Amino acid sequence: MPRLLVVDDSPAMHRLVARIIDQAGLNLECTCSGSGTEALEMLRRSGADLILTDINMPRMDGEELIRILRGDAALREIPVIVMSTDGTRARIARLSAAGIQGYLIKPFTSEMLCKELSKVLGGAHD
Amino acid sequence: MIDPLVAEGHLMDSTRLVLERMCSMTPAPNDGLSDERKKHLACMRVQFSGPFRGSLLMAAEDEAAELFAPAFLGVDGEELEPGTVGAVLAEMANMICGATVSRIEPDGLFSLSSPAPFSPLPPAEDCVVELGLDCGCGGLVVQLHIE
Repeated sequence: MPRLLVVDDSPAMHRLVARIIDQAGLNLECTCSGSGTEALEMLRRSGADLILTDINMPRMDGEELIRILRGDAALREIPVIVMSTDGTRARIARLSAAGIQGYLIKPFTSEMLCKELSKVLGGAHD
Repeated sequence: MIDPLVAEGHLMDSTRLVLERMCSMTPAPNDGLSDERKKHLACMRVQFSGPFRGSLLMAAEDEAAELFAPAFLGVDGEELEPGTVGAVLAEMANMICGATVSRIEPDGLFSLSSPAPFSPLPPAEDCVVELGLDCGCGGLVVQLHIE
Protein backbone atom coordinates (compact mmCIF):
# COMPACT_ATOMS: atom_id res chain seq x y z
CA MET A 1 0.00 0.00 0.00
CA PRO A 2 1.45 3.42 -0.93
CA ARG A 3 2.48 5.49 2.09
CA LEU A 4 1.41 9.13 2.41
CA LEU A 5 3.18 11.47 4.83
CA VAL A 6 1.03 14.45 5.89
CA VAL A 7 3.09 17.38 7.21
CA ASP A 8 1.11 20.09 9.00
CA ASP A 9 1.40 21.75 12.39
CA SER A 10 -2.39 21.56 12.78
CA PRO A 11 -3.70 18.39 14.46
CA ALA A 12 -7.11 19.26 12.99
CA MET A 13 -5.64 18.93 9.48
CA HIS A 14 -4.12 15.53 10.38
CA ARG A 15 -7.54 14.26 11.41
CA LEU A 16 -9.30 15.84 8.46
CA VAL A 17 -6.95 14.39 5.83
CA ALA A 18 -6.95 10.94 7.45
CA ARG A 19 -10.76 10.96 7.62
CA ILE A 20 -11.13 12.00 3.97
CA ILE A 21 -8.75 9.27 2.81
CA ASP A 22 -10.51 6.68 4.94
CA GLN A 23 -14.03 7.66 3.85
CA ALA A 24 -13.02 7.87 0.18
CA GLY A 25 -11.56 4.38 0.39
CA LEU A 26 -8.23 5.50 -1.00
CA ASN A 27 -5.69 2.75 -0.71
CA LEU A 28 -3.14 4.84 1.20
CA GLU A 29 -1.35 4.34 4.50
CA CYS A 30 -1.43 7.75 6.15
CA THR A 31 1.21 8.96 8.63
CA CYS A 32 1.31 12.48 10.11
CA SER A 33 4.06 14.85 11.17
CA GLY A 34 3.83 18.27 12.83
CA SER A 35 6.85 20.01 11.33
CA GLY A 36 9.36 19.91 8.50
CA THR A 37 12.09 18.82 10.90
CA GLU A 38 10.10 15.87 12.17
CA ALA A 39 9.00 14.98 8.63
CA LEU A 40 12.58 14.89 7.43
CA GLU A 41 13.57 12.53 10.25
CA MET A 42 10.63 10.26 9.44
CA LEU A 43 11.43 10.28 5.72
CA ARG A 44 15.09 9.45 6.30
CA ARG A 45 14.08 6.63 8.62
CA SER A 46 11.13 5.12 6.75
CA GLY A 47 10.64 6.92 3.41
CA ALA A 48 7.23 7.61 1.83
CA ASP A 49 5.58 7.36 -1.57
CA LEU A 50 3.92 10.77 -1.44
CA ILE A 51 4.17 13.89 0.73
CA LEU A 52 1.31 16.29 1.44
CA THR A 53 2.73 19.34 3.18
CA ASP A 54 1.65 22.68 4.59
CA ILE A 55 3.90 25.70 4.08
CA ASN A 56 3.66 27.87 7.19
CA MET A 57 5.00 25.78 10.05
CA PRO A 58 7.30 26.51 13.00
CA ARG A 59 10.94 25.42 13.06
CA MET A 60 11.22 24.16 9.45
CA ASP A 61 8.56 25.37 7.03
CA GLY A 62 7.30 23.55 3.96
CA GLU A 63 9.47 25.46 1.51
CA GLU A 64 12.61 24.58 3.40
CA LEU A 65 11.49 20.95 3.61
CA ILE A 66 10.96 20.83 -0.17
CA ARG A 67 14.35 22.46 -0.81
CA ILE A 68 16.10 19.86 1.36
CA LEU A 69 14.17 16.99 -0.23
CA ARG A 70 15.06 18.10 -3.74
CA GLY A 71 18.73 18.24 -2.77
CA ASP A 72 18.75 14.80 -1.18
CA ALA A 73 19.57 11.98 -3.60
CA ALA A 74 17.59 9.45 -1.56
CA LEU A 75 14.43 11.58 -1.23
CA ARG A 76 14.30 13.86 -4.26
CA GLU A 77 12.01 11.60 -6.31
CA ILE A 78 9.19 11.56 -3.76
CA PRO A 79 6.23 13.52 -5.19
CA VAL A 80 5.14 16.51 -3.11
CA ILE A 81 1.70 18.13 -2.99
CA VAL A 82 1.46 21.41 -1.13
CA MET A 83 -1.68 22.29 0.87
CA SER A 84 -1.65 25.87 2.04
CA THR A 85 -3.90 28.79 2.86
CA ASP A 86 -1.53 30.85 0.71
CA GLY A 87 -3.17 31.23 -2.69
CA THR A 88 -0.91 33.97 -4.01
CA ARG A 89 0.39 33.66 -7.55
CA ALA A 90 3.88 34.41 -6.23
CA ARG A 91 3.87 31.44 -3.84
CA ILE A 92 2.42 29.00 -6.35
CA ALA A 93 4.95 30.03 -9.01
CA ARG A 94 7.84 29.75 -6.56
CA LEU A 95 6.85 26.27 -5.42
CA SER A 96 6.10 25.07 -8.94
CA ALA A 97 9.64 26.10 -9.85
CA ALA A 98 10.90 24.12 -6.85
CA GLY A 99 9.46 20.95 -8.39
CA ILE A 100 6.20 20.22 -6.58
CA GLN A 101 3.61 17.97 -8.22
CA GLY A 102 0.44 19.68 -6.96
CA TYR A 103 -0.92 22.66 -5.02
CA LEU A 104 -4.12 22.61 -2.97
CA ILE A 105 -5.40 25.86 -1.53
CA LYS A 106 -7.08 25.57 1.88
CA PRO A 107 -9.99 25.40 2.39
CA PHE A 108 -10.43 22.43 0.05
CA THR A 109 -13.20 19.88 -0.31
CA SER A 110 -12.82 16.11 0.03
CA GLU A 111 -13.21 15.82 -3.74
CA MET A 112 -10.41 18.32 -4.39
CA LEU A 113 -8.01 16.43 -2.13
CA CYS A 114 -8.87 13.01 -3.58
CA LYS A 115 -8.51 14.32 -7.13
CA GLU A 116 -5.07 15.76 -6.39
CA LEU A 117 -3.86 12.59 -4.65
CA SER A 118 -5.17 10.37 -7.45
CA LYS A 119 -3.59 12.59 -10.11
CA VAL A 120 -0.16 12.29 -8.54
CA LEU A 121 -0.54 8.58 -7.82
CA GLY A 122 -1.51 7.93 -11.43
CA GLY A 123 -5.24 7.53 -10.99
CA ALA A 124 -4.89 4.04 -9.58
CA HIS A 125 -6.41 5.04 -6.26
CA ASP A 126 -9.76 6.57 -7.26
CA MET B 1 -2.46 51.66 2.03
CA ILE B 2 -5.21 49.05 2.23
CA ASP B 3 -8.70 50.24 1.40
CA PRO B 4 -10.88 49.16 4.37
CA LEU B 5 -13.86 48.51 2.10
CA VAL B 6 -11.80 46.25 -0.16
CA ALA B 7 -10.36 44.49 2.89
CA GLU B 8 -13.85 44.00 4.32
CA GLY B 9 -15.06 42.39 1.09
CA HIS B 10 -12.14 39.98 1.00
CA LEU B 11 -12.49 39.16 4.70
CA MET B 12 -16.20 38.43 4.27
CA ASP B 13 -15.65 36.28 1.16
CA SER B 14 -12.86 34.32 2.87
CA THR B 15 -14.83 33.77 6.07
CA ARG B 16 -17.89 32.61 4.14
CA LEU B 17 -15.77 30.27 2.01
CA VAL B 18 -14.22 28.60 5.07
CA LEU B 19 -17.53 28.21 6.89
CA GLU B 20 -19.37 26.91 3.83
CA ARG B 21 -16.66 24.58 2.55
CA MET B 22 -15.37 23.22 5.85
CA CYS B 23 -18.47 23.32 8.06
CA SER B 24 -21.37 23.45 5.59
CA MET B 25 -22.62 26.59 7.34
CA THR B 26 -23.91 29.75 5.70
CA PRO B 27 -23.26 32.68 8.03
CA ALA B 28 -25.40 35.80 8.07
CA PRO B 29 -24.12 39.23 9.08
CA ASN B 30 -25.41 40.38 12.46
CA ASP B 31 -25.26 43.68 14.29
CA GLY B 32 -22.30 42.53 16.33
CA LEU B 33 -22.14 41.09 19.80
CA SER B 34 -22.53 43.14 22.91
CA ASP B 35 -19.39 43.96 24.88
CA GLU B 36 -20.57 41.58 27.59
CA ARG B 37 -20.91 38.64 25.13
CA LYS B 38 -17.53 39.49 23.57
CA LYS B 39 -15.85 38.90 26.94
CA HIS B 40 -16.73 35.20 26.75
CA LEU B 41 -15.50 34.30 23.27
CA ALA B 42 -12.90 31.65 22.42
CA CYS B 43 -10.40 33.65 20.38
CA MET B 44 -7.51 32.67 18.09
CA ARG B 45 -4.94 35.01 16.54
CA VAL B 46 -2.80 34.52 13.43
CA GLN B 47 -0.09 37.07 12.72
CA PHE B 48 1.13 37.69 9.18
CA SER B 49 3.98 39.51 7.50
CA GLY B 50 4.73 40.25 3.86
CA PRO B 51 3.81 43.22 1.67
CA PHE B 52 1.89 44.38 4.75
CA ARG B 53 1.88 43.15 8.36
CA GLY B 54 -0.83 42.55 10.87
CA SER B 55 -3.03 39.90 12.41
CA LEU B 56 -6.36 38.20 12.08
CA LEU B 57 -8.46 37.33 15.10
CA MET B 58 -11.32 34.88 15.01
CA ALA B 59 -13.53 34.65 18.06
CA ALA B 60 -16.53 32.38 18.51
CA GLU B 61 -19.13 31.84 21.17
CA ASP B 62 -18.80 28.45 22.83
CA GLU B 63 -21.95 27.10 21.17
CA ALA B 64 -20.60 27.94 17.71
CA ALA B 65 -17.07 26.66 18.40
CA GLU B 66 -18.46 23.35 19.66
CA LEU B 67 -20.41 22.87 16.44
CA PHE B 68 -17.57 23.94 14.13
CA ALA B 69 -15.31 21.10 15.27
CA PRO B 70 -17.46 18.06 14.36
CA ALA B 71 -18.66 19.77 11.17
CA PHE B 72 -15.08 20.55 10.13
CA LEU B 73 -13.85 17.02 10.82
CA GLY B 74 -16.96 15.23 9.58
CA VAL B 75 -17.46 13.33 12.85
CA ASP B 76 -20.05 13.16 15.62
CA GLY B 77 -19.55 15.63 18.47
CA GLU B 78 -19.24 12.72 20.87
CA GLU B 79 -16.15 11.46 19.04
CA LEU B 80 -14.14 14.62 19.73
CA GLU B 81 -11.00 14.31 21.81
CA PRO B 82 -10.03 17.02 24.33
CA GLY B 83 -8.47 20.00 22.61
CA THR B 84 -10.12 19.36 19.26
CA VAL B 85 -12.47 22.35 19.48
CA GLY B 86 -9.50 24.69 19.94
CA ALA B 87 -7.47 22.98 17.22
CA VAL B 88 -10.29 23.36 14.70
CA LEU B 89 -10.86 26.99 15.65
CA ALA B 90 -7.13 27.59 15.17
CA GLU B 91 -7.11 26.01 11.72
CA MET B 92 -10.20 27.95 10.66
CA ALA B 93 -8.50 31.20 11.72
CA ASN B 94 -5.44 30.14 9.73
CA MET B 95 -7.55 29.45 6.63
CA ILE B 96 -9.44 32.74 6.85
CA CYS B 97 -6.21 34.68 7.37
CA GLY B 98 -4.38 33.07 4.45
CA ALA B 99 -7.34 33.44 2.10
CA THR B 100 -7.85 37.09 3.06
CA VAL B 101 -4.26 38.29 2.64
CA SER B 102 -3.91 36.26 -0.61
CA ARG B 103 -6.97 38.06 -2.01
CA ILE B 104 -5.82 41.49 -0.88
CA GLU B 105 -2.34 41.05 -2.40
CA PRO B 106 -2.35 38.11 -4.87
CA ASP B 107 1.20 38.79 -6.03
CA GLY B 108 2.68 39.05 -2.55
CA LEU B 109 4.56 36.51 -0.46
CA PHE B 110 3.24 36.21 3.07
CA SER B 111 4.38 34.34 6.14
CA LEU B 112 1.77 33.31 8.71
CA SER B 113 2.38 32.45 12.35
CA SER B 114 0.88 29.40 13.97
CA PRO B 115 -2.53 30.31 15.37
CA ALA B 116 -2.52 30.92 19.12
CA PRO B 117 -5.19 31.66 21.75
CA PHE B 118 -5.56 35.39 22.36
CA SER B 119 -7.54 37.21 25.00
CA PRO B 120 -9.31 39.54 25.30
CA LEU B 121 -10.69 40.37 21.86
CA PRO B 122 -9.60 43.98 21.19
CA PRO B 123 -12.25 46.67 20.71
CA ALA B 124 -13.58 47.06 17.17
CA GLU B 125 -12.06 50.56 16.96
CA ASP B 126 -8.55 49.03 17.07
CA CYS B 127 -8.91 47.06 13.82
CA VAL B 128 -9.32 47.86 10.12
CA VAL B 129 -12.35 45.60 9.74
CA GLU B 130 -14.56 43.72 12.18
CA LEU B 131 -17.18 41.26 10.94
CA GLY B 132 -20.01 40.07 13.12
CA LEU B 133 -21.65 36.89 11.89
CA ASP B 134 -24.46 34.67 13.06
CA CYS B 135 -23.80 31.03 12.22
CA GLY B 136 -27.19 29.82 13.40
CA CYS B 137 -25.51 28.20 16.38
CA GLY B 138 -23.89 31.22 18.00
CA GLY B 139 -21.99 34.35 17.14
CA LEU B 140 -18.66 34.73 15.40
CA VAL B 141 -16.43 37.81 15.27
CA VAL B 142 -13.52 38.18 12.83
CA GLN B 143 -11.13 41.12 13.03
CA LEU B 144 -8.42 42.16 10.60
CA HIS B 145 -5.64 44.31 12.05
CA ILE B 146 -3.07 45.92 9.75
CA GLU B 147 -0.03 47.71 11.19
